[in-house]
Amino acid sequence: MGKRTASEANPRADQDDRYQKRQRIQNFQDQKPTPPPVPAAEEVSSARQLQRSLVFEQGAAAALRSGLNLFKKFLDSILYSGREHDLPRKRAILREYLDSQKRNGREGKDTEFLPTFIQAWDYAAETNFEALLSQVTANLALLLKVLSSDSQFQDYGVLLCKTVLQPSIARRLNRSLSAAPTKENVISPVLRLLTEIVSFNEGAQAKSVYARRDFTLEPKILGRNLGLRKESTGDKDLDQRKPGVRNNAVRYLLTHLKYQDELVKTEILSNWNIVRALLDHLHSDPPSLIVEILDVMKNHVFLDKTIQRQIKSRILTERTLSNIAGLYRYQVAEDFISEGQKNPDAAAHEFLVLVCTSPAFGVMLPSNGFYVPANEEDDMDVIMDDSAEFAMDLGFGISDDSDKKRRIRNVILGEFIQSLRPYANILQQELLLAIFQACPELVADYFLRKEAFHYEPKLTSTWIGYSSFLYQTVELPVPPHLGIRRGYRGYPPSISVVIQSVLPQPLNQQVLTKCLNHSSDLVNFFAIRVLIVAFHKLRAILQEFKNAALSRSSKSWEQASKRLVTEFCQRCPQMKTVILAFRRPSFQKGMMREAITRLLRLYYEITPQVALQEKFDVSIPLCNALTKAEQPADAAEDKALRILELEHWAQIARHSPAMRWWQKPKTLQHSPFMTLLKLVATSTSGESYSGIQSLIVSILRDHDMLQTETFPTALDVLIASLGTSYGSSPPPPQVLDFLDDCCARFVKGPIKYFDDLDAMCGRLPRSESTLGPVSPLLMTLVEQWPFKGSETSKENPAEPLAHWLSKFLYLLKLIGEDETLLERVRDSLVTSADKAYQEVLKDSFLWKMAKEKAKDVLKLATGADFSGSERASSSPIPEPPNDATKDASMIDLELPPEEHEKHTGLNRWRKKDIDENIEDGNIGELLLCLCSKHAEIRLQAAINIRQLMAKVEASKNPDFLQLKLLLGEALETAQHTLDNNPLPYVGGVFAARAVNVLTDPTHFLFGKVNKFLMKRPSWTVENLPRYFGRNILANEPEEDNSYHKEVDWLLDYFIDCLRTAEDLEIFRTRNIFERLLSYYSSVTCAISAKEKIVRLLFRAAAVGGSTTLITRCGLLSWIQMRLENNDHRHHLLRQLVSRLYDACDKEKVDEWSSGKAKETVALVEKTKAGRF
Amino acid sequence: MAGQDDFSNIVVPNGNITNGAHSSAPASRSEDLSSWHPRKVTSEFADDLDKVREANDFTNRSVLMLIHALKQGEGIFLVEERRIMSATTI
Repeated sequence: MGKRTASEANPRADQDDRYQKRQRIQNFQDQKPTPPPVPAAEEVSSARQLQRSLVFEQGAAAALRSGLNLFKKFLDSILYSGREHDLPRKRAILREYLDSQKRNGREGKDTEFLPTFIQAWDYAAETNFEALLSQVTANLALLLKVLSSDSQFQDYGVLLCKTVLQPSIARRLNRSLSAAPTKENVISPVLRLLTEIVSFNEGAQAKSVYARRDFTLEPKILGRNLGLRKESTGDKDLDQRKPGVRNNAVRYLLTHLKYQDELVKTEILSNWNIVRALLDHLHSDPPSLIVEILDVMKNHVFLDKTIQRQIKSRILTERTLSNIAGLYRYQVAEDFISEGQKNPDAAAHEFLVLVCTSPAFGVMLPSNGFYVPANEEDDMDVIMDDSAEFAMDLGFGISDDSDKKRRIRNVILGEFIQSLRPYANILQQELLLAIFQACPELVADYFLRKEAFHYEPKLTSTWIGYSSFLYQTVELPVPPHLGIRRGYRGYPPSISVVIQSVLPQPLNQQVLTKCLNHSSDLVNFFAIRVLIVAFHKLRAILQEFKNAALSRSSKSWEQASKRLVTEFCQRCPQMKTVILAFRRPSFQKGMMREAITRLLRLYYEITPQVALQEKFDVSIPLCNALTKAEQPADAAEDKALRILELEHWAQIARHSPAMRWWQKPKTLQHSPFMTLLKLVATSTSGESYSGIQSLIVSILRDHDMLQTETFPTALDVLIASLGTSYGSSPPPPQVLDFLDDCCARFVKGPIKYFDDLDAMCGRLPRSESTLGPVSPLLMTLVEQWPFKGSETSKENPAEPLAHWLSKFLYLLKLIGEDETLLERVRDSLVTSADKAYQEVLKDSFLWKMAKEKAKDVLKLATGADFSGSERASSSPIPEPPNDATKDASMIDLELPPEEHEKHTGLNRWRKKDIDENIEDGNIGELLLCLCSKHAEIRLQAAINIRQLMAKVEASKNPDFLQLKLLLGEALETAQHTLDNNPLPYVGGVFAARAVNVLTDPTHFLFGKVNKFLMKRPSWTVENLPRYFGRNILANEPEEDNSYHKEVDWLLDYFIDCLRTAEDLEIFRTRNIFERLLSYYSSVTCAISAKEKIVRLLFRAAAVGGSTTLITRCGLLSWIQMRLENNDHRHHLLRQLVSRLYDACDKEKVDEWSSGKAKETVALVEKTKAGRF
Repeated sequence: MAGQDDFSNIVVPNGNITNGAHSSAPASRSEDLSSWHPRKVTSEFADDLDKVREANDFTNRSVLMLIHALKQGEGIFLVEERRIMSATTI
């Protein structure tokens, strides 16, 4: 059987389609050579002309097409012509024409409009006459654009929209939209027409267009059209004039997003293929379109609060984010960007920063800062707290999940950020940092997963980019409450997570050491800078931990702080490396010098345990810095850097226990203290040395040399008396030498001068209690003055000295030091002086010009007001800020810790290695169970300690030999009384604390504790405090410079072990309190030790020791004496008096003291009230 | 970019990376940190900056990153120190 012919198969097609197809070609070809009936250049001068040109007759399509051309030009001239004066005429012509194109339908309604166009459209569609079809459509789109541009045409516009949206016509639109992808000329005009309809009159017709969505917005077709990209021609104008299908489709979609309400938008955006098609091809779009897409997505989708988060979330997949982030690499030729237009990378950046940093936009999830999410529904902090407590009770603390698989909530962002290149592009770096700041949980995740991130030093731009990124990351602020919205949790976050925010994975000790030793200055400098910010960050986090511990009292915070510091110290270079670098020539000046000194200072301030291990003599660089600060500098910034360097040294010196403030080194004219004082007094810009001034205050605090009760203080007076402002000459060297000598003498033997003062007070007729404040240093001045200004010493004219003394006394009186005493001082000075100076000294309290100047200096420096009175104003005396903050945190009743009800310490040690147990304090916890009030717990503890000993033995690790010995002795000590009585905490706490000492051979008490353990197999617990008290307080330290560390350890032990009445009894019978009180008054007692002793007294009061302390130790009188000696802890001591008296057996105490105790307490409280 | 002005001397094409830095006159008026910090850094590390420019991976885009990295150090100076410095550089 032969094949059917085409005509047989489809006879109609043979007749119509083939014919028509040929026709079309003919028409198309006809049109070009044949000049149109109306010449293209012709201008439209009347509506009539338009009517004539736009007539549709079958077979005369060419004429219509010419007419359409004419019409297009006419519309273009309305829209784009610059000739304003012509516009009203043209609009009138158009209106007349449009009026003529309305046909009244049935019942008088204007149902037919522009019949010519509709007929031509019908014809073109039926005959597949694509050229005509697209021309008609394009004309209608243009017409609607014209109608939109003038509100007078609004009615015609509405009519046109309605006409086009009639189902019979709208169906045709769909057919065009779904034409073959190659038929751009068919698809694009329809998209333009629809875009115009949607945007007409601010979206008035948008709903109607969507109502016909089967014809106008078929998701599959739109998705396909969005993907029909056109290769750029490279010519900006051409690309703009003839945009491809994708451009038109994108604009159509964007118009919908602009003008539709949230329901429609939601429906449209729910079509994944539309969204995907829109965003997948972003990278190949022209810049203006990219900017438009991102702008509409941002303002009309993501910032539209009525659209549900879920919808936004579905759009922002990792793929979408990557597509948008791909724009960071978008290269754009300069002529493609119009003036004032954003670059695609900037637009993408703005968009990504917005959506990635707020939970409202769907991709970012609220997370818990440094905390790892515990489960899916962990928004409830309370639940978390409970679970954490539970976890800790079971012995696997949440803070200790270093090997656990890392969990984060922001999985998508976590994946996405791995693809960014923060080292090569600033915008990408900014985005990543913004994300880190919004989701701190991602910092650790990012660095732990980024294995290929090497920071090996190399002077390349990539390395510098890395450095910059790491610096910025570390510099990010610590999230408030460590990332928990409503306040601190009861337990700290995992240290392995936190450390990544301080010193991220690439910054380890090895690499950082290499950087510091690198030959390039820039590499050294960048490494130092990143270390400096890391230290700042560490400090901020430790502060947060401290705040947390205050609000959520828990031991775990303290432990976490320690672990964080340890971890940090393991990752940052050893201080030795920094010191070696510091000595290299390249670090001797400018920014490098300042930076490395700052770094050393941070080692001392934040990780003193590491810094103090290095034998680094601070006095030499400090003296050098002091000398340099006094020399003139070439440039102002060098001077500024020197001042900063000096500040750093001063702070280092403050932390360095071996600093000799009062001895004059060879390189300096005066002692470091006097040099600092001189620097502050003679500085023309006094503000520059505010840090030095506070250092001077802190040095003086230990010595009670100058009183601090008045405002301004005696130190302010001393500085003002040496001042050189208003052009007066610098302080004469005699004065400085004399003062330096007096200070050194005072520091060597303060007791003598206190006695002198007491003697002077004793000679006064009035009682002591009415005496005002006075500076004890005056007694040294009185003692030493005769050697300078008496008749016998003629070598060195002491006139400047006499003038200075006179000025000093005048100012001291002005600020309110005791007048009578000052007069006595003056008299003593006068008596021993040569005649030449007697007059000057006699007039000490009289006004003189030079004194007025000094008074002005004092006023300027302190803001004190002396007007109207010879005295300082009686305004309340502000307390030195340092003291106030210290005291505020210190006023604590020191209640003893309660015994843990669950006794978790019994078994926690079983779950970990011995090493970990030591580090986490679990062994100590177990030992403390021997002190439990429940006999059963004590027995279990004894059994468990034996098991632990077996485990230690099984480990066969020689390092744990001492630990085993300690456990054995503790057990031996406790077991005889275990059934009836608990081991006193004095023994238990000692054992627990000894664990840490024994496992660290570098510990400053390693020798002493070992020696004690070797004595005998069990301890007499009652003798422990006395034994160690004597061994530590009265004996030499094991290592140089560790005396104060040992004392601190001892006092911490005392405070910790004083928990019950039994412990108190041990303290009482062994006279521990008496020993400590006399130690407190000795010169060797450091400030921290004094504070600890006061804390111990509070603790004693808390365990029922008040009566004992008052009656047996005479504590009230002791405190009174301290207060009279202007003790700097007067706040605390006054609090202690109240506390002691409140907690004591008042009847017994009153009887014992015959009512005197009550009076003393009342007196102290009254002075307290008077002071505030 | 704001920092570009401060570092204009290092982005001069084909020029010495720190031409202007050496010749910068000492501050004669009150300056804040952000005005002299970049100048000081560029002058102190002039040689190394030249080396970075010769590195293989140095492109036009690297200039921006370099400027950005050098500018960062200002954050280290605390408020109090900034005050001291502006008081001193009067």
